[in-house]
Order: sequence, then C-alpha cells, then structure tokens
Amino acid sequence: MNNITLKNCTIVNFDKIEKNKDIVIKNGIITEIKNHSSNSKGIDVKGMYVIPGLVDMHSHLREPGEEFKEDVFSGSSAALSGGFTSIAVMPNTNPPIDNPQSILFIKKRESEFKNIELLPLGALTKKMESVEITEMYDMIRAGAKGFSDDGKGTTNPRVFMNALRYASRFNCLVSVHCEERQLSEGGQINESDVSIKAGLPGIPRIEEDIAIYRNLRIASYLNTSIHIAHISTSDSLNIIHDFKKKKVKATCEVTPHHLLFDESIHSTYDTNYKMKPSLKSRADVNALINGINSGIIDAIATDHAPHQIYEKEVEFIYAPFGITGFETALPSLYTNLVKTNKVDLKTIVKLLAYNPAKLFNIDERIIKIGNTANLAVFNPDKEIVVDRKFLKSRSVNTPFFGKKLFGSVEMTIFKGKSVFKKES
Amino acid sequence: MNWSRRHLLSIEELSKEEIEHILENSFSFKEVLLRPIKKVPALRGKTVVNLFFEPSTRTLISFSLAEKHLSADSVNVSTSSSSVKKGETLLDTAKNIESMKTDMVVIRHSSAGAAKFLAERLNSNVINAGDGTHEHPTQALLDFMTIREHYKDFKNLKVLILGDILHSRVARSLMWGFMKYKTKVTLCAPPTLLPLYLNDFNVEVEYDIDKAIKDKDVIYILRMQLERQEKGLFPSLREYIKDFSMTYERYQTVKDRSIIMHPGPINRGVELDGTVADSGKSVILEQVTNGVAVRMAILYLLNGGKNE
Repeated sequence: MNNITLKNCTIVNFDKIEKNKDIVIKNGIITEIKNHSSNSKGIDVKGMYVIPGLVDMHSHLREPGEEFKEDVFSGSSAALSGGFTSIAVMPNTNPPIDNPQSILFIKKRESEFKNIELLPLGALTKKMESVEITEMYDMIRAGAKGFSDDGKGTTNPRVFMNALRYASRFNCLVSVHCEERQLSEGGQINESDVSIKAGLPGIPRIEEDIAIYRNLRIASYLNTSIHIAHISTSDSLNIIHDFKKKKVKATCEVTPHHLLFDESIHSTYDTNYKMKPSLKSRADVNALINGINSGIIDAIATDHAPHQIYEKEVEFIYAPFGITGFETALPSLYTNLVKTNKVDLKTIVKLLAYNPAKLFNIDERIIKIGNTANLAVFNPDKEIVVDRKFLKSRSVNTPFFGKKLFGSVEMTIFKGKSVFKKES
Repeated sequence: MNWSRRHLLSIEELSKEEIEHILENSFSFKEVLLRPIKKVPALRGKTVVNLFFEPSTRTLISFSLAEKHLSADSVNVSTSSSSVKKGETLLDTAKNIESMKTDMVVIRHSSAGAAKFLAERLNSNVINAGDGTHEHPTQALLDFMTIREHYKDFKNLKVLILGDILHSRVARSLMWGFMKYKTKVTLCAPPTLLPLYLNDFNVEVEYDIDKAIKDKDVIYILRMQLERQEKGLFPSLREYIKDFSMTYERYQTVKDRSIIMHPGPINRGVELDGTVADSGKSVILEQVTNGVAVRMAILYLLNGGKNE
C-alpha cells in the first residue's frame, strides 16, 4: 500500500532535470531512482514532470473564526491539489494564533486531516496589537514553526525589535509584513496614473520600502535573521539586495500575482485584483521577475487569502483585500513565465519548494534516494479550466476564475502516500 | 449618428461624436423645457429608479424632473450610508429593485466603479450620477452644454479648473471631455489637492491663482470641503481663501467675455466670493437649467431614442 513506483519520470530538481527515470517509493522514502526500463511496473507518467512537493511560506486558512471562507480541511485539500505538501499558516485568524493552545489546535486539525504538513506561525505580539510580545517558548514547544504579525505588521518599532530579539533564540522563521500604515491607511490601490483615472484612493508605493528598510535595519542592528513577506516593488527589491550584499541575514518572498499582473487591470474595478500589497507597474513586475532569476528573491509564496464571492462582489472600496492561490500558483507561473521562457522551471521549483523547505528547516525538497517522498506530478501539456469544480478551496476569489491555464497537477504524494489524484 | 450605448458610465468612454450627439439632443429638450407644458411621452410606461447612496439635492431633483418631463414613472431611493452597513449588499439591493421590473437605474455612490458594477450585472440601463472620485458624466455634459451656449468652438478655449481637483469626480469628467476637444485646460489648487500623477491628462498646472485666471474663457470653480482641512491637506480656510478663492478683487481681473461656472452647491465666501456667484459672468443657474435638459436627452437616448 505504501509502495509507489512512478515510471518514465522527468525529474525536476532545483539544480537539474533528468529524463526517463523510474522512482521507487517504499514506506514513505524514495528508495530507488533508476533509468526507465520497459518491464518495470508502476504508474506511467511519460511526458510529465515529477517535482518535489511544494512548500507555501504564506497562506491563510481562516480557521478558527472565519470557516465560511476556508478551514483547515478545505484549505489543505486546495493546497494538495496545487502540488503543495507543506504550507505555512498565518496567525491572523479570529481570535489570532497568539498562544500555545491555539498552536495545539492547529496541530490537532493537522492530525485530523493527516495528509499535509502544516507549519503554524504564531503571532509576534499578543492579539497582533504590537504592544506585548507573545509566549514564544511555549508556542515553539507546541509546534510553532515561526512567527509573524502578518496582515498587520508589528507597527511599533521598539516592540518589533524586542519581538525579533526574543524570537532570535529559536532560529526559526520570522516573516514580516512590511507596510507603513500611516501612509497606506485609506488607500485602495497603488497611487499612480491608474488610481487617479479610476478615482480610487491611492496607496503611495513607498509605504512598503520604508517599512522594509526600517525592519531590515532593526534585524541588522540585532544581527538576527528576518524574512520579508510578499514584496511588490523594484524599490523593495533594491533595498533587500543592498542588505544582502552587506551580509544581513535577510530573505524575501514574492507572490505569483505580483509576478503576473500589473495595476492597469484596475480600470475594470474587478475586486479579484484587490490585494495587499497592491499591484504595481509593469516595470515592477519585470524587476520582480529579474529578482527571482537573479536569486535576490528567495521564495514564491501564494498568500492564499480566501473570501466568499458575496464579500468580493461589492463596491470596490468595500471589498476585502486578498485572493486565493493554492490551486493556480504552479499552473499560472508555468503558463506565463516558464512557457514564455522568462523563467526556468528549475527556478520555480527552487523558489516554490527547495528554498522554503530550507528556510523552515523541514524535509529537504530534492528528489533523491533516501529523502522523504513528497512529490507532485505535473502534466505541462494539459489545459485546465479554473472553475468551481477545479478549485478545492471553499472560496473562489481568484483572478484566474473562468480562465484557462496550461499545466495540471495530476498527483500529489505526501510521505510516500498518494494524497491527491486529479479526476480524469 | 447611430446611438448604441445602453449605459452612461463615464465621459472617458464617450467619443467626441457621441458627446456632440448628446448636446444636440439636449438643446432640443431644452426647447421642451421652456414650453408652458413640459411633458413629452418619450418614456411613457418606463420605470426609472434613482438610487442615491450619497446625499444630493440638485442632481436628484434634476433627474426626477427629467424623468417626469419624459412621462416615465420614477421612484427615489435615498440612503445616506451604504446599504452594506445594513447587511444588504449593493448588488442585492439593486437586484431586488430590478425584480420589481424596472427599466433604468440612476446611481450615485461613494465608491468609484459602482455604476459600472451595476451595469455589468443588471438588465436595466444604468446612468452614473457620480461614483466616488471617479466621474460625474451628466454634470460634465451639462457643463459642455452651458459652455456651448457661450462659445461655439471648444478647441480654442482656455479653461481653468480651480480647487480640489484630487477629490473631484466633476474635474475628472471635465478633463476627459476637454481632452477630446483638444481644449487647453489649466488646473489651479494647492499641491495637496492636486493628483500627484497627471500624465494621462493633457493639462497644465498653475499654482498662482492671479496668473491662472487672467486669460481664461471659462473659470470652473470646485466646491471646497472642510473635511480636507481635518485630513491635513490644507491649513485653514483663511489661507485657502487668500490664495485660491475667486474673490471680488480677482473677479475684476478676469476677461470681459469669460464665464464663471460651479457644479454646486456653492459655499459663498469660500471658493468664491458671495457676490461673484450672482455677478454677470456667473452662469451657475444656467448650468442647473441645462442639467434637466441634458438628463432628458440621456434618458431618451439610452431608452433607444424613440418617441412613444
């Protein structure tokens, strides 16, 4: 039962692609990788890519508190269908995950679902109010894999400095949502010619890089590591690059949507493009694509943020920020960046699996003998339609809704077990 | 020309020919408006809903009268806050109303894009009566009609828009319209009340009001809202009046033939001197009259341009 053989694989690791391989999985471990032979038994995946199970550094499962948008089960199912076998879960639920009992609750839900690894992040500050730091020792003991005040950001610099210093002892990921609220407050989309024409209140783009600069300075002053969540501008990228050159232990992520869309779409007032950070110019998109190719950007994270249709189908200024991303991340990146030769598939694997796994210090995402069998089988030639049936999330607030994409996750394997199979 | 639009959502989307067509029809309806009996049967049997989510007196009355003159049956739904806060979404409100078999919806709303939102989801014809700081197309059209009564040719005009451009949907509609006529438009306001990005509009900026008003044929003054002071966008009314108000002294320096316009409601003594509003160059009440004619023309055209 626990043994699977994949035949005729094209194995894509972060550093190389190997064709015509058979992968033998026994008891959750990759035990053999050998050249394909015609008499081997198993699942034939000819023409498909076998990639390491993806790791999402940034997602919102809405449980507890907003289960009408998503819960651990629906969100995890969506993640598996997108090829993810480990997902980081942000603490901005209602109530927030800011104490050990809440971490234990997420771990309990994970064990009930069984088929995915959840990486719960605890809040840096109680109620994410940027006043008092949380019980991080206890949260780590309960199973927290890192900390973040995502969605809000720790606005008080002194409190943030204390939180970052306190957390430094655990060598875990501290993911920081960087937004200078005094500048962004009241804004809807990036301030630009587009926002002026649309008549929507603008958010000056500097709100992001100002907060990033401040937080990187705090991290460099403390000599601790820091992870910058969802960057969206060339300015942010340049600042992070400067700090990296100075050997500051900084890493950063970008979402698929900031690599694919620019702000010009806002003339449609489609609320499925309303998110934080806001979409920026085409020049920013190109800079971010260069950033993933040059290695300045360490990870691609979905920032999967489910909202119900009736919450999104309202006047633009009343719609909540955020879009879903688990199911569309890989196909949309493949269609728009890999097929168009802007980014190598190996780089996508590196940023969606290999690097995030390293940052979380979890099972290595390299397909090799002896490693845990966390895998996804991806058919690059199959066209998918992003519709209600395709999306496993409880919410369908994705800009790809109703659209076609190339590339289909046919199968996801978690610890040697087939946990998702695409219905034919 | 053949009119094919089902909705009026913005000036940006209109061609110059479409604007001219609306103006032509507006002048015809103005004749109707000046008759002792002002009623024509163009919209007999049609139901129009005026859905106003922001307080308005002038625009709501203007639409209501236009609808009555065209023999439509109309109802007004006015609510000062968004229905979202009452627990019903705009879409639910609109669909419920449409289920009562209405034909046209006039909407004013504080969110940009609200009219487009309904137009994409309802079967009714939708007219934008102001959406956030996006556009106010019927206002711009009645302004063009008023300007046309004073100047035949828009191309060689020099126009000044004075005041809070940043938060003005009227200014945006006017700028789009004037761009189509290649009219020279100058903006004058404190920098904090001007958009930081104006690359897509063909306009000039002049911060010095005394220079700005000197050679203009049309001086369009916007309403100044006190809440902008609370948001820290200008320091005091006193300073605003000193540097950006059409005072009586400044009024003496404008060209003889120029006209002074304002979308209303006016703040006497703030953006314009109390006596300037009633002066010979003020066409503010002509604008209001033309508003009814323009709205009759738009209702008529969107309904298919047929008399009953």
